[in-house]
Amino acid sequence: MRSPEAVPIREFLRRAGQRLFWRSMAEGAAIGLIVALMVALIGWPARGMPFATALVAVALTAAGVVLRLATTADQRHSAAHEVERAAPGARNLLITAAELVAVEPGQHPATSTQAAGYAERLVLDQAAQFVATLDLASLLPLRRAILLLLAAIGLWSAAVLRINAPAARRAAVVAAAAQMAVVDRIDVTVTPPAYAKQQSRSLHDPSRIEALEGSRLHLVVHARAGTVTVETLHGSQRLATDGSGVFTADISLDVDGYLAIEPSRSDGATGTRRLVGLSATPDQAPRVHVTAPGRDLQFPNGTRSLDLTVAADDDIGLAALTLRYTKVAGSGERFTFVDGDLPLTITRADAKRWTARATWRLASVGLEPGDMVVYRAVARDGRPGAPPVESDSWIVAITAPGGIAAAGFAIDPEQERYAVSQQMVILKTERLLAAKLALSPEAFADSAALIGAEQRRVRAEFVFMMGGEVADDQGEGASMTQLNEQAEADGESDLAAGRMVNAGRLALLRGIRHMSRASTKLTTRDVTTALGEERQALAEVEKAFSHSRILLRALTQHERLDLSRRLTGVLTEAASATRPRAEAVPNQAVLALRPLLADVAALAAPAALPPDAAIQANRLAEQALRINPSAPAQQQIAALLASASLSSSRGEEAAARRALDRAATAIATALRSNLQAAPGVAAGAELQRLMGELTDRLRHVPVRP
Amino acid sequence: MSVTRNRLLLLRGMAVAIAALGVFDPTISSERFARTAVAVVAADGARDSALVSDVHAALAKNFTVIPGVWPTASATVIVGDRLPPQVTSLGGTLVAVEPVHSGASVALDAPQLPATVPLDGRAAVRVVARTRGANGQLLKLTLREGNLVVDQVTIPITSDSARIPAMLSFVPTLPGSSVLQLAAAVAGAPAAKAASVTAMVDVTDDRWAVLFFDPRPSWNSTFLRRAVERDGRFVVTSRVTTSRSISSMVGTPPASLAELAALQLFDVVVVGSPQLLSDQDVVGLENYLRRRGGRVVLLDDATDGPYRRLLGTTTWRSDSGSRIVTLADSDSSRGVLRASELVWPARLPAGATVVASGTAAKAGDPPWPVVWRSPVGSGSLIVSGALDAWRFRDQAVSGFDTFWRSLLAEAAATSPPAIDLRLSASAIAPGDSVLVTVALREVMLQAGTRPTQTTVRATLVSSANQATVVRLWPAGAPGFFRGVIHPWEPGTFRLAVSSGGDRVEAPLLVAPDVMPVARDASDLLRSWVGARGGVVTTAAQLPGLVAQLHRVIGAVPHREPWHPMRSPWWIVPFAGLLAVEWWLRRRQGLA
Repeated sequence: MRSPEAVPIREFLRRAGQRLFWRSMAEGAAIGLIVALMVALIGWPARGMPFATALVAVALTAAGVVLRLATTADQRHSAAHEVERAAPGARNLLITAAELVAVEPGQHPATSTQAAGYAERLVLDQAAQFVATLDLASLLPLRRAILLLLAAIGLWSAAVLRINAPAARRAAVVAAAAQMAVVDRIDVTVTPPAYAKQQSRSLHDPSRIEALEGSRLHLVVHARAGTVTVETLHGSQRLATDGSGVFTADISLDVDGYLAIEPSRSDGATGTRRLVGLSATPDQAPRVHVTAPGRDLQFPNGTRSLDLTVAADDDIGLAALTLRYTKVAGSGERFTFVDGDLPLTITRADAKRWTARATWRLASVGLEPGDMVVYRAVARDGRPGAPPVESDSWIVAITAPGGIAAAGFAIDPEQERYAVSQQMVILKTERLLAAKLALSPEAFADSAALIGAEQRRVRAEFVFMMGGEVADDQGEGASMTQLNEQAEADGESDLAAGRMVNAGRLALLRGIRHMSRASTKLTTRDVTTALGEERQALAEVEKAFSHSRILLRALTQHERLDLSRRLTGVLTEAASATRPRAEAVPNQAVLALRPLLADVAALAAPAALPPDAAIQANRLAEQALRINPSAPAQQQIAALLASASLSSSRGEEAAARRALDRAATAIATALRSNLQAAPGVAAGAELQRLMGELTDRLRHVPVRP
Repeated sequence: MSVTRNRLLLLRGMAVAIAALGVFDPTISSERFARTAVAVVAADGARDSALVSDVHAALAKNFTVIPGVWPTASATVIVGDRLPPQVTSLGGTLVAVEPVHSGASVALDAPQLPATVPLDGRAAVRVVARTRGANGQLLKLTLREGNLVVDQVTIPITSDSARIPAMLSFVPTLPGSSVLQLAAAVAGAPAAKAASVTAMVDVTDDRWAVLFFDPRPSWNSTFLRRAVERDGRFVVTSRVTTSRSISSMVGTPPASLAELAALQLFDVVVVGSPQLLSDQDVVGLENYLRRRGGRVVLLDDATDGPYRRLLGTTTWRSDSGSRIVTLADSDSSRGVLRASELVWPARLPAGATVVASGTAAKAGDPPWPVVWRSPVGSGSLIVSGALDAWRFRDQAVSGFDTFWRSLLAEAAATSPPAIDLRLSASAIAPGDSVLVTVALREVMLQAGTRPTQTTVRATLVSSANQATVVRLWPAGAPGFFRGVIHPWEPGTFRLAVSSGGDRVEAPLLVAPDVMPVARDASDLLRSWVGARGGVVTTAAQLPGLVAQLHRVIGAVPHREPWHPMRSPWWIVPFAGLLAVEWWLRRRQGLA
């Protein structure tokens, strides 16, 4: 039907069909969402999977729409019937018009006659007039379907949010239900000390905070409580609040420990504590070494140049690196000391690793023969108030005939103490003599001076073994028959104790004297004579150790023996004595851990955890940390107990019990390492008796009554 | 007409044929087994009833099946995975049919753990788990004290039928009784396939009394004493004779070792410089060993003396200063000693066992038994030939302290108490029985020396303090008693046994959830059946059971003649044929 009267009818019916389509869509979606809501409520998909829940809802909504569209397809195709049902005044006029416009021109049998064509136009004309008076929105309202859809969406969203609400939110709900003060969230901003030049970092609900010693912790606690206090190893403090449920505090992290954050209601009732472990990482001191030349040097004059290399590193960053020296001039008891710094050319690989070089012209120090200069590198990191760290000190000595370097500077206490033996000094001297022709006089002198330094080092070790410096005038003529009266008068007590009657000690004194002479000769380039002295020194040392295998420092003349400890006394006063029984010192770790394990066992003993299990578990976690906050085992135990507390506060008893089990196993493991194994199962008395009798028979021992 | 005639001829012919065959009496030969009697016995009738029925059905056609024990049966089929209680009455050759286990399963043997644990010690809980069908999976063993897991281990399973020994540790926290539950499960297997056993231990803070007796100062004894003094589990009393009639003492030690009464108070006696012991001292020590069941540690000094007659050997070997030797037991569980001056017996005396040995200097030589132990009566003598072990006490390389503390603790713990009380189980279900064994040390070790009259009393005390007298009966040797208790009420009990002035207690748990130890005795079953010339098969191989039985019985099929026509039943068809033939003829008027 293409008559002009049909156009408004067709347009009206198209809009009605469209409206019916949207209404069916909304209804189908609402039905799908309601089904999705029911599915979510019965726990599918699992809690904590909001994405999966949404996917299920989308699928069910689509299914609902498709089904609803399928079931209302007839309605949409007969939109005229729906309109007639809503507007009975049409009296089938719309239905008739709809049928007429649905038929193509010429196909309707009635159109073949003129009368029929008139009737058709009349119907369409009246229908057009009628539909012009109709309001589709009121005839086919969408409002109800849309409200239904919105309600379904709202219900589904609320349910999903409720099911998948964050743990802290649910904890708050649980706590609110129980009317308890509760900590919802803990935000910590860790600000390292300024000198570290490190970024601040934020942590949310941390179980442990590891930060540089001296860091500042800014606590922001979101709590449903009247007050919140934080307890550390040093005490407790109340957090500031503006009344909006947000509490703040600043804490300095100086040592390992913990933060126990406890909310309280206005009436003083406390809620579950939250425990946060603290690990303060100490700032390590810088390390610095003079890598070149890295040994003591002897020069015949002070005109040489010295190439120095220094290396330093630090765990956070270096702040300064310098080279300091002390010039020692003079002799006897008149020494002068002059300190100074040497400019270094520093190469910074990064803030933590520096190297430095310098060429030191000794002439700038003004060294005379017999003078020496002691130098060392000094490094400092950025920590305020941190003492600078010095490298090993090294000596540059300008030799003078007969001069001996001060022993105190020559001995490195940690390195090479026993590396150079007298035998090695002899060997090096022999090699130097053999290579004399191939060396320049200057190089020969330098090498001899180095061997002289080593000889002094060996001598110093023997002097150390004897308990201190050895006077030059003692021992020169020492023998078993000719004693130096002055020295012996000074050492009367030693004589009384019989310590000087020791051929080994005398031989050792002679050996030391030979070493002194050898060192002097090496300094004056008289290497051949020095070699003889070295060999004599070796012979005396060997003699000393063969005479007495015990040359202890306790036997030197400058030390007194404690006679009360020598089990000496008057024989007639000897009598039996009864000593008090020695009591075993209890193992402190066992004493601390055993009650902790007992308390955990007591907490877990009931079939259902007690209502205050969270609080108890938190207290046990604090107890664990108090034993030793720095020990990883105690940190692990505390973390597990804190986890048990958290699970218990959420009402998750199974998870709390699992955490308690793991904590107990960790405590037991720590205890085991401090306890001896108990004896195993003992054989019964009858078996022991039979074993004894069998042994007697095998050995043919007559059983003694 | 001809059809009827043919029928008549056929009927008559058949009757004649039967008669003719009867006259000829033909013989047919066939090979058959004799039908013999076979008994079918189940170890657990309730559990294996279905399998018993299957076995019965499989055998009924070829054998005379007798349900139950039948001593004169040609063979007995044992159904189940363990031996039945009447094992000695089973007749004939044995064939075992084990049930087929589906899926992974685990069973636990009874755990080995001491009945008493010192508070300052950690007790090893040794157990053997047997798994089936769990190759490649993980076995998880968990030790619980009450509701708390205190130790757990996970062990990979490497075979389909595995026997896995494991050790867990129990750390006591308080004196008193502790209930331990050991559970085993194969990871991923259903809970029904898991196993658990329950036990009870007594935690005590009693300390062991140790006497150090040095006839002269001895470095070895001194440092050993110091190591023991630092262990809170011991109470050390000592006497060091520093000069004639002058001693340094701790506590109130006896003046000599001659008097048994003075030594009886000590669990262990350690003697340094034993070569200076007098004859009376040695006699006293031997009395202490034999009549007290005491433990004596001799720190040998490689010197002769009266004490050597206790050792049971006269030939010695020594090694002095050539090298530092590490001395340890087989698994180094006690730690290691180090020493360079050693003395050891050329041949260990009969009954002696090695405590710690060192590797011989020459490769291939047997290890040197430097520390060894030997029974002397009910006592035990420990001899150490590590003469200078005291010099090597650096804890980084030597376990001097640990070794001696462990050895002395073990010696003291095995020293027989005045009353030795043992229960066959420390945890049972209500109605189960527990065997109680009591040994009175004084009566037991002094039997035969003088007439002894003693009184022993046992009571089972509930947690509500209700006491029930337990009757004890003399068992075997003097001083031994046995009894059985059947507690029906659940609860925690203490069995108290007293004799004279001595009293001892042991805990007993009665709880409905205590599972009996399901000992997997399949090894024993296989050994027993194999020893009787039998075979072990499974339920899956039932179709071949008849052949297997014939094979193990040794049945030989024999040729058996069969005379089919001798059956009297032939008269029935014969008469029937003739009767029908006669009836047809009468009907047609022919007869």
